[in-house]
Amino acid sequence: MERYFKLLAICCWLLAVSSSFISCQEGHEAGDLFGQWRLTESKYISFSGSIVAFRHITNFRPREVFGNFQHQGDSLFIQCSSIKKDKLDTLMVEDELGMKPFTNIRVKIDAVDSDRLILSKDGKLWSFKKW
Amino acid sequence: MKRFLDILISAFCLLLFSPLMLIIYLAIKIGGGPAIYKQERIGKGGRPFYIYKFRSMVIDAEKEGAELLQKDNDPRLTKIGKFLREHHLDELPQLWNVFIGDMAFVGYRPERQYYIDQILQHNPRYVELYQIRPGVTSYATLHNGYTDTMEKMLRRLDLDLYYLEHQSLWFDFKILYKTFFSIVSGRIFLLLPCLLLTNNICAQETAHTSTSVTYDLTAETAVGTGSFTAYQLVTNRYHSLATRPNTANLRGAITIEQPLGKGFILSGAVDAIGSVHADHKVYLQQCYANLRWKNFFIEAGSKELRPVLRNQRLSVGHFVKGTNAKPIPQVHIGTTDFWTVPYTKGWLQIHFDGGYGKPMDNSYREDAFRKAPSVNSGYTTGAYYHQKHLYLRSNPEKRIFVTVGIEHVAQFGGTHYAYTGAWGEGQEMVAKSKPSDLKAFWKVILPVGDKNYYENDAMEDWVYGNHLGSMTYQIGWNITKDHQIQAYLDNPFEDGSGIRKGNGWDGLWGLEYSNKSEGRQWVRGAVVEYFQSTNQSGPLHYDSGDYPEPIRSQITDLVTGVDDYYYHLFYGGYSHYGMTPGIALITSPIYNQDGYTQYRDNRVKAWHVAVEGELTDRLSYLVKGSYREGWGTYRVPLAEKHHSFDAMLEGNYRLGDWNFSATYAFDKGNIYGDCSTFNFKISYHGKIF
Repeated sequence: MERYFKLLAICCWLLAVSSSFISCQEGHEAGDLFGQWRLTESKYISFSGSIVAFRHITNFRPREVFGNFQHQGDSLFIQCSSIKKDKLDTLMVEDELGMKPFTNIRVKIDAVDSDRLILSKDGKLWSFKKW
Repeated sequence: MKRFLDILISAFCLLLFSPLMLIIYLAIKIGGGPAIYKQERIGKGGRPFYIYKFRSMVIDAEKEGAELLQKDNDPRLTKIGKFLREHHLDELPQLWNVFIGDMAFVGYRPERQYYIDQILQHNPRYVELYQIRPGVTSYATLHNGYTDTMEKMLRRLDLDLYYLEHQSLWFDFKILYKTFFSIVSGRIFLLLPCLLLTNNICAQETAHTSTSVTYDLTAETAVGTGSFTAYQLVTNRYHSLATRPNTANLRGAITIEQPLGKGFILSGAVDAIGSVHADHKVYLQQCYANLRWKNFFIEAGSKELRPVLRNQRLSVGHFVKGTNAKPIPQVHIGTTDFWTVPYTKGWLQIHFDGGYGKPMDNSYREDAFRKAPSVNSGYTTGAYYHQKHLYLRSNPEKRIFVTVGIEHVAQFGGTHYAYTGAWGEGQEMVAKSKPSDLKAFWKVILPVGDKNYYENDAMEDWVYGNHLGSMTYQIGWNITKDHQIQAYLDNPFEDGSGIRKGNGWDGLWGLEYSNKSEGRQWVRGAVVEYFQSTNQSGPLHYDSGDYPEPIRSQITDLVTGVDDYYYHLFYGGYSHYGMTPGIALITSPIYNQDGYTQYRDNRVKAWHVAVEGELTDRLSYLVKGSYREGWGTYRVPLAEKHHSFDAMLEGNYRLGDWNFSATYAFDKGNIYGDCSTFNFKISYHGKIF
């Protein structure tokens, strides 16, 4: 009986620990792009799962635009969608970030590692820092 | 002498009746509306003060028309109110009035200015009563009962003036004695506990058990430079020392323990802190009653609870049930220590605790919001609190032993107030309440909800309440009989996300060494910890159900994330009086110098080291230091990365029941700024009997 409980306790612990150490990060299907990337103090792009989010923060209040993305080789395809069909969302992505068209963005991934992400298109460069 | 006795007896009564008061409080609250009724009365020296009672009438009973006199058969009485009135239980909160000096136990019944003005027109001698404190009971109440006419009021005044001329301690005692029996007579409700108490006292005499009454007195000061008292001095001390710089406090506690026979022990304490240059000038830090039997207890009130697994002096603490904030009053049951499960031959032990409470910081939250409305979007008051933990441990006497468990906290109920529109654009304050009925108390036990909430137009979010907690995996190694090492991981979760371990390396990873050898030990214990909260469950959260068409059909995947540890849209921060009850490495809102009431930086990486030991038989030391970096939150990242190095060195000298402590602590970085604090503390533990 004593051995049984001893074994049970150790098995429970090993199971719990192993499930913890074989941990997965939610949204890690985004691969190397996963995480939050900073372009400037107020502009960020985040990738998780198959979704991308653009954030523009003014006066501690973020404006957020979501989109689907696909990552094939060094090409990145993003299709944005506005929550309230707000023109300001399109302006934020197309004019402030310079990524267009809003519903069909295609950029090249020049470099990506644990600290930086560099995207480019037609000679325009976006250099992000992991944040 | 009379005032001294008033303080002593009211403190004891507050302690004794705290479970009953909590039950009454909850009973009224569940019926809706405020539980405490306060009214301005005129006291000693003609000064106005607020008299406190349990609300026995419907809300706004006196709103319309002139101020009304109360009658025993008043139709405005609620069902609970009628019962409370019949048993005079509505007067219990006046113990607090006595304790703080507004009133005495015996005096004259304080009246409203409205009636005093009328009485003065008939008899100007009323002003003579201003020489003494008004009382919970009076000589006039014994002979005149409730006053509902001017005739009775004038008759009462005559009796009060008689008392004034003949007052003495003996006279007071006779009035108290007669009041007690006039209340008790014919009331089984009160007679029963009296009989039980008498029975217990008799039983105790035969069992040769005795009451223990002890007290603790502490004087402490913290002086230095910088914007705050240094972080390590304030942290994990139940917010007993103020965050403001150059502060000092006096603290007094009285603890009573009464064996009741057959293994039952009743205990309780009243513990108050008076501070200068502090976040709270006077605060009742602890006030509780506890009934325990063997390894189990039931407790009501506010108590500084010790951490179950983490070292209180060395570790950064538990993720949600930590020791950093003021205790939250609650009713809870649990085990006093690890309890060996029968029939397992000592191989399995459990430790559990669970209960419901109510945070005390409603006014604080509202005031904090109103002080800085331009940076805050709203505030929540009236929320309830649920907590529990369950830890399973194998026999710790064996060479290797393991511990697994979970701790869980939920905020629920309450009302959220927020302005519509942007600041300064003609906003309107809108209130939204969450249910706090019995069903709500049941629903928060597990973080579940209506996943189709957006279709069902449910009032609640996906999960009812703000849930957070952590799961623990710990392994211990008894190197020898006296030396032990434990390694642990406390894996945090917020609203369920971390339960399925989707937060990467987030958690508190630690290694603790403890030395149980007798005599002086250079190193009594040491801790090395790494804390990370940067990953959460991802940098963005998207649930199509949250949004309207067409985006709902265009982006259909569900991506969870932005857990925002310690944050909730409805409840704001998981904080009590601005301090996190969990790991203080996530900077508490109280440190936000612009008045922002939420957590601004919950994505941190931190390293923490602490060592304690003894230099002589009487002199011990404690050294600890933390370094952290913070990136803000996912929603609002910091423009500049936060970093801070916070360290302290403490020396403790123990001389019998006296303890003298001197500490130097400092902060370097851009979280608290550069702070440097010297702290001196003298404490004494005494026994009355």
